[in-house]
Amino acid sequence: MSRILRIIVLLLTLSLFVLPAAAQEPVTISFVHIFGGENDTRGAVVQGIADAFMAENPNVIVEVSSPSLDYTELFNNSLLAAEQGNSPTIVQIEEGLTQLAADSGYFTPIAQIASAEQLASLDDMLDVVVAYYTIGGELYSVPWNASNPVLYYNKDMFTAAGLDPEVAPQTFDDILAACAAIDAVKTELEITSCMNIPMTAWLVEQWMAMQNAELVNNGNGRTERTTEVYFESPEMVEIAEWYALMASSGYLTYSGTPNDLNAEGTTFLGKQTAITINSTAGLTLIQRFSTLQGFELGVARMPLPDADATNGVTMGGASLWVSSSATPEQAQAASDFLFFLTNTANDQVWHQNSGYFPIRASSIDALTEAGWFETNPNFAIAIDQLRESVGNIANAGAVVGPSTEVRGILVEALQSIVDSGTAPAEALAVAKQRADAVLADYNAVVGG
Amino acid sequence: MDSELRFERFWTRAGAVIAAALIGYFVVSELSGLLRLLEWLGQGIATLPSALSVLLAHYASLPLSALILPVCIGGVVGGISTALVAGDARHAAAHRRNIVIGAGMGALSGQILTAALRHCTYALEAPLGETVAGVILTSVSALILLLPIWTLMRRRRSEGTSGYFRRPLLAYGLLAPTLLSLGLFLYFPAAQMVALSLNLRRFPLPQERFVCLGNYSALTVDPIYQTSLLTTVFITVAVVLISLALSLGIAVLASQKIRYAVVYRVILISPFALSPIVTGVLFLALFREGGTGILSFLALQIFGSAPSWLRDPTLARWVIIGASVWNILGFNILFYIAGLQNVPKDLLEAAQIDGATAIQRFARITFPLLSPYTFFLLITNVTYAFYGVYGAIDTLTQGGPPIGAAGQFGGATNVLIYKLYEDGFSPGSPLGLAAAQAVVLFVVVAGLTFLQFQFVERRVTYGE
Amino acid sequence: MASDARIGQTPVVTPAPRRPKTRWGVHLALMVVCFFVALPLLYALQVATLTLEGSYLSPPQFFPPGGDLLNNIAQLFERNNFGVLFVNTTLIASVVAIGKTVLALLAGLAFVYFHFPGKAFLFFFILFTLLLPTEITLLPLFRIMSELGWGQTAPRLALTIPFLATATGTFLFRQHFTNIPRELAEAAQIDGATPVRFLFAILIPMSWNVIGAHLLVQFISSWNQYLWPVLIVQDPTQQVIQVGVRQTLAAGLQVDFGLLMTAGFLASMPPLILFVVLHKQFMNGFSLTRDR
Repeated sequence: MSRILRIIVLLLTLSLFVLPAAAQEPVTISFVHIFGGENDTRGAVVQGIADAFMAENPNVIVEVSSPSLDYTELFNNSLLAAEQGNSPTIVQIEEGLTQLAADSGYFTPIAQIASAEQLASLDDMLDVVVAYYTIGGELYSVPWNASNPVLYYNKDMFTAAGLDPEVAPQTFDDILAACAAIDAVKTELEITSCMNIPMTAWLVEQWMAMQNAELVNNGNGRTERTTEVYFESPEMVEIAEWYALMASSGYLTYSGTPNDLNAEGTTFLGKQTAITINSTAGLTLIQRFSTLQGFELGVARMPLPDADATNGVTMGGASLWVSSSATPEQAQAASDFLFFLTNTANDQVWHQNSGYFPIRASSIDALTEAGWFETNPNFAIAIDQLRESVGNIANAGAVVGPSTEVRGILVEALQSIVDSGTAPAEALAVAKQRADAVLADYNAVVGG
Repeated sequence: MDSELRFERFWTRAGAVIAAALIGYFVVSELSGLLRLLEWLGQGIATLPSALSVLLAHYASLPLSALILPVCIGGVVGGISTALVAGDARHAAAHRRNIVIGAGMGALSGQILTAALRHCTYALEAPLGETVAGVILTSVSALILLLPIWTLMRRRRSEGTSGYFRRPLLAYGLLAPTLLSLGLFLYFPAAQMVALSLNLRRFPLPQERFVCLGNYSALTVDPIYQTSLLTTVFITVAVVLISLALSLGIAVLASQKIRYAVVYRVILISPFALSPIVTGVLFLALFREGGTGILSFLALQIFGSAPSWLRDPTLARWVIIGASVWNILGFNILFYIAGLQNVPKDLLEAAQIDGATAIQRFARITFPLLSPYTFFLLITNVTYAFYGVYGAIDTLTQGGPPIGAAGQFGGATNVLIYKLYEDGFSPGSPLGLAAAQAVVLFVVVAGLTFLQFQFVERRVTYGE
Repeated sequence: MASDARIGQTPVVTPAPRRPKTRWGVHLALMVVCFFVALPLLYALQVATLTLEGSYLSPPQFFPPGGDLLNNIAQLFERNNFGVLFVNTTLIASVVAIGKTVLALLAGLAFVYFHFPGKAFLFFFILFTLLLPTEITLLPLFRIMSELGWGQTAPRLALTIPFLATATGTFLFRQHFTNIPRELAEAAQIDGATPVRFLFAILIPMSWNVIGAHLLVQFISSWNQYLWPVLIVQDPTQQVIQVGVRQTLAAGLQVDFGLLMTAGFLASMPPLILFVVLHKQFMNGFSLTRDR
């Protein structure tokens, strides 16, 4: 090639590198969640909000996807991808996996990314919700979908048993009394048992929070990494003894599979039981199915262990984490998107189209003014019980690294009490021993 | 006959063409990915020098005591075993030379596993159990390189060369894809699994801490692991015995010469084509609790109460056993039918003429002639019972109802392969421990297979 | 050699008097057994015809079947992506089955018709992997796939390439080739045929039963994969059918058992059909006695 030609080619090639840099490059962020199921309308809601955000911020592209319908799978895959440097920018992580996500080092705490204005807007969020995702005084992730357990009961069956259908049992003792009445007419009602509840540690954590009791040491794991569980505390014993009494009286049953909220909901909707506890996340569906099944649904607050256990409930659901491999532009864009997703307007939309409750006081006020809770009183119940929970260490909830294992151990203790009639004290002692060993092993790996 | 042949030839030709087209399409559409594989291999090879320097640094920092012992052990094991195996006492000089080579190779080869362990079992503060295990491992490791050496040492028998192609290079070429694939995607990850088992890790966090054989010693004192071992043995024995006995009986029935035998056989064999997931799903529908599951409903009607199939430890195990037997039954029946058809009719008729009863004919003639099939099925069924039950357990019981107060003995259906997964892939779970379990499981199955070959294969009579 | 004797021998049929007995006892026993073996499938088929609400009725509806089967099938194809899953799984299972068969043929050829140093060791090297199922190596294999980036960009490769070698197939074809008289290879050598030509012209035409049986077994085995695809495949449109079935179980507040059973059925159709079509090859291809 002639020399002039070579110079021209060289210049042209160089210009290819220079010119695009001058133009504004769009920032692309990816967001993964679990609401992509075929029958799941929540995915569409998320996409709608993302589209609105992109309309307002033309230089940001938000790629929303749902590679898995399961929190555990999504978590595993995202972290394994993060190990290879391929993590999605924003990941939805279940509340129980908070400590694990923090320990992994793959996520930057949102407190370090968000602007001052965004952080100030957190004051508007409900105390309990923000407290859950705060470890060592730092907020790690943005709360998003929040749910609580509530009590569901079959008003028709109450009437048939001679109970007032408008008065829901509010304490452990109330439930025992109601079940005594229902059990007496068990055959007429054609039920297998008075009550069924999901065999999950989540409910136990609620009842501990209500009694203002910590589940694990070191400030529920929030001031320092936890080293010991409080499974033998008097509050826990009270809960376990209630399980034992309910089971031995024949009032309590469950599907056989632990942590299966779906199956328990099905049993109740199938009119196999009169009372159940389940998440508000399924409230819309349960309402619809109870109508289809032809019985009147009653919704009430989570029952208290006893009348003065009024410390309030703790959280369920998931929050949104920003990957530490994101570039500063991506992190900023992600933070902007997250606070847009959870702003007052979108928070209301999210609540109205999913079962999750609004997490901002301003949203709740707006909805109240619009009369939403008058037309949907069942939603009000969940929100009221949360609003009245003052944020403190007990109802901030426990953060535990090997939370799946530890919660599993607690569930096994409950199963042993309910299925095999083990004495609560013995079951809890064994559970504590096992859980403490797991914590010690975990801490040995992750370091002080 | 001719048209049948042509029909068959057409279909085989058509099949070959379709197969080639399919592969061609696949390769073309995934070309970039395949090139990436080559690139990755290149990168891997490029990291060898740095890996080597890490190894050398390790040896440089090793105290002499930790080095001398394994070298001696390897040498002794190598020398003795070579003398026993590859020795030919008639040629004394060659014999001595072989022993020396064996000792040298043994010492070197012993370092393979020992270095992988970073010589940790030979550290002064290592517990006794670990030291003993370390000695055993070094001895085993000494054999790794010796095995191929022995095949080379063996005096080459004058094997016939007619009927064999004289192109050893081509032979290697034909084997290369298989060997490469196995080495890269099976042996290499298996080695990584062993390395993983030497660390404490929590899935999926990146932090890890080297603990030598700590995970293995943790397993020996873990009551849940011990229970899991017992459960696995119980379920395996039950599945293998029941499915073999049942399938033999059914095969005897189905191999009779009756009309529509083919229909019966196809029905009986077909469940083996179903995946464990689908099997689990089917059995879930059958065993649903409450009045909606058919078995529970029938039990309610007949007995007035339905047992909680999946919540009772004993019943849950039997449900899993039932699902597994059902799944593998067709496979066993298939082979037994093939075996029964290979039993020479004249032998049976002769025995019948001699006055033997049906049972005697079966026990003395049929069953021994079926022994190669029984042996093969024994191995495959054991492997299935160890690994294949995962699908059904995951769908039906997820490890089963907990036994012991607060589940201190684990789940009733928490077999080794299930526990391995729980400990490997749940968030926050002990990954190093899972890897150790995988290694132990492999050793157990390998040991069982070896034992079966040693003890059972002798009793197998091959028909002539 | 024994096989020599067999080749020359014509089978002697003892003319036993054939009394046309219709053996009712055997028929009855077989029908009972078949019923119990088929019971889970029959029940599942019945449930597959029910709607979501219908599948939760108590007492359960045994008979007559509900009318929702087509609806369930339509839903699976329209909303659960089953059409795509079927295509994916068919492609992957076919590639794996063909790949394994090809590699096993080559390996069998090498072991039976060549002498080379280290033959015994290499055979042991391959056979040893029978004890190393994928379950043992899942996590490190996942790491390798991540380094290759195949999970994100080439999931089909991730589902096929690691599984192309087969110890079972190598063993099977080696056994089969060993049972073929050595004279054929000698004749081919004399004729000056290359090994490859020998393979294509003589060995393969004699091996269609074994090839068919092997293809079938490996196809079914690959079709039934669950653990590995669920771990490695990120994109739902690249997923395989067993994962689709499992996800039908996991979705939503209430498990739609009718839908779930339909999913299980659909997922099992191709292996079952393939098995029925190829059953003769299958039965012949796996015979183990030496004199066949």
